[in-house]
Amino acid sequence: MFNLIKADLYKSFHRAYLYVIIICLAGLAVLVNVIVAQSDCSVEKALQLILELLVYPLFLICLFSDMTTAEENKEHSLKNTIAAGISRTKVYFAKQISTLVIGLITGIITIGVYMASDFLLMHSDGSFSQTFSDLMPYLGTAFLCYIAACFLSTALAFIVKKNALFSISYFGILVFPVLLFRLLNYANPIFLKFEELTLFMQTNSIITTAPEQLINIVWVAAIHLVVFCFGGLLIFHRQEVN
Amino acid sequence: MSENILSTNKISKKFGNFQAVSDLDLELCRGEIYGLIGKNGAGKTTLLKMISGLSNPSGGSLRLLGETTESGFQKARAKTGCMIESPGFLPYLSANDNLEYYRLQRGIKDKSRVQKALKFVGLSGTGTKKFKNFSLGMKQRLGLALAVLDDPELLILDEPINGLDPMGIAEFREMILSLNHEKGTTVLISSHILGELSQIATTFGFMNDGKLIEHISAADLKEKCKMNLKLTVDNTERAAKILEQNLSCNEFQIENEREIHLDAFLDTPEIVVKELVENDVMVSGVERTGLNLEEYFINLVGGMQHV
Repeated sequence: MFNLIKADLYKSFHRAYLYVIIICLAGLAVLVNVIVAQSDCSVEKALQLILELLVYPLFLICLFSDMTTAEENKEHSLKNTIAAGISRTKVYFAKQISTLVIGLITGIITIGVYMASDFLLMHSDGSFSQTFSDLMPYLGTAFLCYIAACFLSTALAFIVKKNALFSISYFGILVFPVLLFRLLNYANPIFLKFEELTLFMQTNSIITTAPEQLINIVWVAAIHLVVFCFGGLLIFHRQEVN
Repeated sequence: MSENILSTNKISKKFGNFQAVSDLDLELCRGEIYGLIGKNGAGKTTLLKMISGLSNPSGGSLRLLGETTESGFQKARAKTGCMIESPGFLPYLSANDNLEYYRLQRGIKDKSRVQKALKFVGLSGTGTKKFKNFSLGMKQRLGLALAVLDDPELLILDEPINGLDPMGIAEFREMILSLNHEKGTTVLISSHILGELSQIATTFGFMNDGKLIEHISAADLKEKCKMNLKLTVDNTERAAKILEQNLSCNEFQIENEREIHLDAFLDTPEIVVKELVENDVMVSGVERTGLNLEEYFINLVGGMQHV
């Protein structure tokens, strides 16, 4: 498994795609701070702004799955791995982990640049440690939601061969249930409960949730994670690799 | 008797209602170059995919390098090199980087393997040129380089010379022969270019409609396809006696009341005709006949309408 992950990282860091994503995200992070700094904002307030942005990484996760998995499926290079006698389960989990690692590296660099530009452009009101520790449970919960989304995205990257269809499927599964339940809510208000249980809505609601209630989101994210992960594995095992 | 390296027992594959491979038994011995021949849709690729683990069989069983279990197959496939259908690689990486990716993935410790494989297929000079900019011939070569990256015991090649120019085909043939002769690599190769297969294969398997309809050694096939002189005469018994007594020739078979197939005098049929006529045997036809691999295959599957 380690060899597979190492190879995936080798592949991903040997192309411009990943660097372009990292530079774009880091650039956006700096841009946000440049704009916020115009309003005499403190480092701590700028840090809290992260909470407003927690739902957006959900839309970026499929880029990393595309890099590690969907592209291999599209270019028919996955067959080289399977035909070499590497078990499908190992390949599946290695790709999931590689996607997470690449996403994590990108996330750490982006947050790092965001915080560094925070300190360079703004002044601290002295409550940085407190603000940062207050932020951690929210970031941790969001991270689990991202892992669940990552498992969904990578599972789809194994199953769906066409790149466009893969992206549409990912966004469809992420957003369509929200729209569907919202619509069904007009027929029966109980569907509003289902809407709240979707991964997208759970991630969206992190900001408005009290720290002690974040555990509910953690549970929902964990259930999504397990379903996406093993559902994808089951299908990949039966699938013909071309 | 040489070791059996691959055998399938009534292996089959069904896609919905379509039976792609049906109860197929195939045996491959160590050191052989097994040429798998069949028209489009005969089930060759599906069979090779099942052997290499890309497709799950619907029925039957497989023995690969002595292994019969799923975990055993994984070990066996690690000693197998494959090139199924068109070569698939990462388009934005060079030949070297693509192979390095698979070297890391397979945990091959010897870094020089990548360069050795590229040198073997004649791609060591491609530098930073990306796979997406390769010609079809270069792509096929890289496919072979990956297949031989870890010195496989068994090489599975599906239509490896499709799209290659005559020079490329000749070089590919030499590469496969050198692997077989120098390293003892067993090769299972499918191709539509039957003339090419006939130059390298030691055993042939003919597939039609998902079934293996004939399995024959190259020597036996040569015997079956060899050129002979077909003589149409009025009296085969008398003709046979003249051939034996006057021309000291025993290399003939009486096919029917009017036809003799002669394996000698292929370049000098006039000597035979003169001798027969002078001894009152009427010769109404002389024809040089024989089959090449293509004609043999066409006869086997039942005529041109199948090709």
